[in-house]
Amino acid sequence: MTVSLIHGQQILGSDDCNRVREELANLAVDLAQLDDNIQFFSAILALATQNQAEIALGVLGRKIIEANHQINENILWLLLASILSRSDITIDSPIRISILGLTTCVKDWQSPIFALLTPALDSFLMVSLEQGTPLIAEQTLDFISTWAESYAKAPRTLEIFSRFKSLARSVLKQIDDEELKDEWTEGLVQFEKIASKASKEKYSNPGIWSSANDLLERIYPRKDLNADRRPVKALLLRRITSCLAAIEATVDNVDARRHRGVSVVVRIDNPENNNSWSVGASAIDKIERLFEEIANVLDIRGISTFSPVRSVPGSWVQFLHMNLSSNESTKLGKAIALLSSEEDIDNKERQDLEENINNEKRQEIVRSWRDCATLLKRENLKVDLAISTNEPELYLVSSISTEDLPPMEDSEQARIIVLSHDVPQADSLEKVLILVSFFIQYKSSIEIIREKFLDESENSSRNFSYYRKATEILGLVDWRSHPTNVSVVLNGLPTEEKKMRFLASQFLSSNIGSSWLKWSNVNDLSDIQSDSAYEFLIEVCPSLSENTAKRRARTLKSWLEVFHQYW
Amino acid sequence: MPSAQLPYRGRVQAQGADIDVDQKGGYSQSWARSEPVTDVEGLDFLAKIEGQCSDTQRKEREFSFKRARRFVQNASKAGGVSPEAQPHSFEDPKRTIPDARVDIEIHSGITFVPADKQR
Repeated sequence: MTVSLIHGQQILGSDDCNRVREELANLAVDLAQLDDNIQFFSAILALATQNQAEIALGVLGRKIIEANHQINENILWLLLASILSRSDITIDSPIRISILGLTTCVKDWQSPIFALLTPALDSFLMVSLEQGTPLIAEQTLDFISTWAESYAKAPRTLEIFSRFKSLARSVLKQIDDEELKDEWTEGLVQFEKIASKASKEKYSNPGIWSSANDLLERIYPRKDLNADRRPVKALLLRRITSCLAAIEATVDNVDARRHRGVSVVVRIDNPENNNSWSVGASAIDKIERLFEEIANVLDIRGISTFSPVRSVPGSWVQFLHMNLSSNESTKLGKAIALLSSEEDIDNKERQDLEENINNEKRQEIVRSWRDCATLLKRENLKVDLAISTNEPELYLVSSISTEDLPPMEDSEQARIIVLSHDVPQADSLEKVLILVSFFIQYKSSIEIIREKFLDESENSSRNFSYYRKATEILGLVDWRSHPTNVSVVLNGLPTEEKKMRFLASQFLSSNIGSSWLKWSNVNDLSDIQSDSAYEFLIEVCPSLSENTAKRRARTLKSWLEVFHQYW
Repeated sequence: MPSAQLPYRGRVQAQGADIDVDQKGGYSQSWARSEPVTDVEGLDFLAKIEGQCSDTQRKEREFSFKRARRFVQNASKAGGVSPEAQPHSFEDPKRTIPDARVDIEIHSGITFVPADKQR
């Protein structure tokens, strides 16, 4: 019997676990053919409640035993990927036991589709070993030591291997049955031997970059994808993206250059199928800018641009690298990880991350990401972004996606929206002029400009960042910190009066100035009311908190009052 | 009540091509009842199917039986397990028969509850 959508909803709609289990067990499941019933199970594993996913996986585990472990590879991959796409599996969930019924069926962990899942499975198993109940931890150890030969060959970094080894050893230490302990020790030693060798070697099958994408496209073809299957595909794609970022760190671990830095994978999906270079390149530019903004907030000085590493042919899946010190990579990685768990306030991992980034900085980072995602969504792009570093806790980080933001309504696209990075927070226009002169004088070194500015204006490093942003907002410096032609003209003007008038003109042509003019429904700068700054910001820049809006309204008001004097 | 509707159901099995020759489908002990199966009973079921194996068949599954027993003992320490904690098949990596294994299947109800608490 093939399960229809309505029938499926009826099965899952029952509050009686026994009934749900019986109904699922009664469904005919052909483990040789990837049909609607398999896709139904996959949807439960990925999207249903944890309790429903637990029931479904238990049922599948028994069906696999009944079928003598004969299961089609693609089905096995789909089911495994569906479970691993969940980020909410609790430490005591029976899924941690029943998932092993699937992992033991994988014959070759080096084959690209399964190798790609290794970062997610490794992370999952490490949690089971470290925090699971004794039953969960021992079952996990049993899998590792009994299926050592195959799973050990999967690609993983030396850091992850060391962590895996230490966690498995500590579970082994607790075993009170000496005979069993000896047998598991023997298996674990073999695992360690093979895994150590595999971690030092470079995983070389190029299929790893595209095979999972291709398989998913065959299972869920874009052209006839039902609305109920779209979320499953999207979730699996996001898991694939985060695994790709982790694998990128794995395969390159023999390359000393890549020991330092952040691996970044960007997946751009354009529903309108506009695959022109400019669409993708502009998206990558915006993401690079996001990284730069986060680095500024975190005082990471060594931030550099993305270097392209590879791309998946025919797609907009881009592999990039940012060359940073290990300390800087960790800082940046933690900030991205924080964004990925933004909605999950009870998440322990998130609490740990928050300890390192204070509330104010966190709000700024979140604002930058929302601005970036809003710009991407305005171009009708769906973008998933994942990172990975050599730090074990940042090896596999859940991807962030433009889809995490609520959908943009048509009316919203038409109304005035200002992004937080369009709004200045630098009260003194005199200091803006000083900074511009330094940009012209010392154009080759941002470090010298920073030092000179801080000496001259007795400002904090944070304020430098705000003033630098102000020069960009006014079109005086581009976002690569190069002074524009306009700034040279400005700098050459003989009087302060002329300079301020020039700045007022620049303000009017900026996003923030023109929006304020439009919002005020007037045609001239002199007709904008400086007292309306706060109300204006609250209405057009929803990403600003009340306090930040007040702070930035102060800047707008002070600027406008100066401009009014000279206009 | 038909056995398929009883709240506690499951089975343990020793399977593989070497057993199929004597007993198609393997040696099996199943239960369908109104009371949960205790750890003592679970271990007893395993002992029974192990007893049905010939020396060679038992040797093939020695490590598997050990791990299946350990699963029952650990499940009992946790107060029993639900059908959702379906364990993987217990196979010995050194087996010579490719599909020689021991299976525990929990179809319904909390299983392997501690015998001392059950009484």
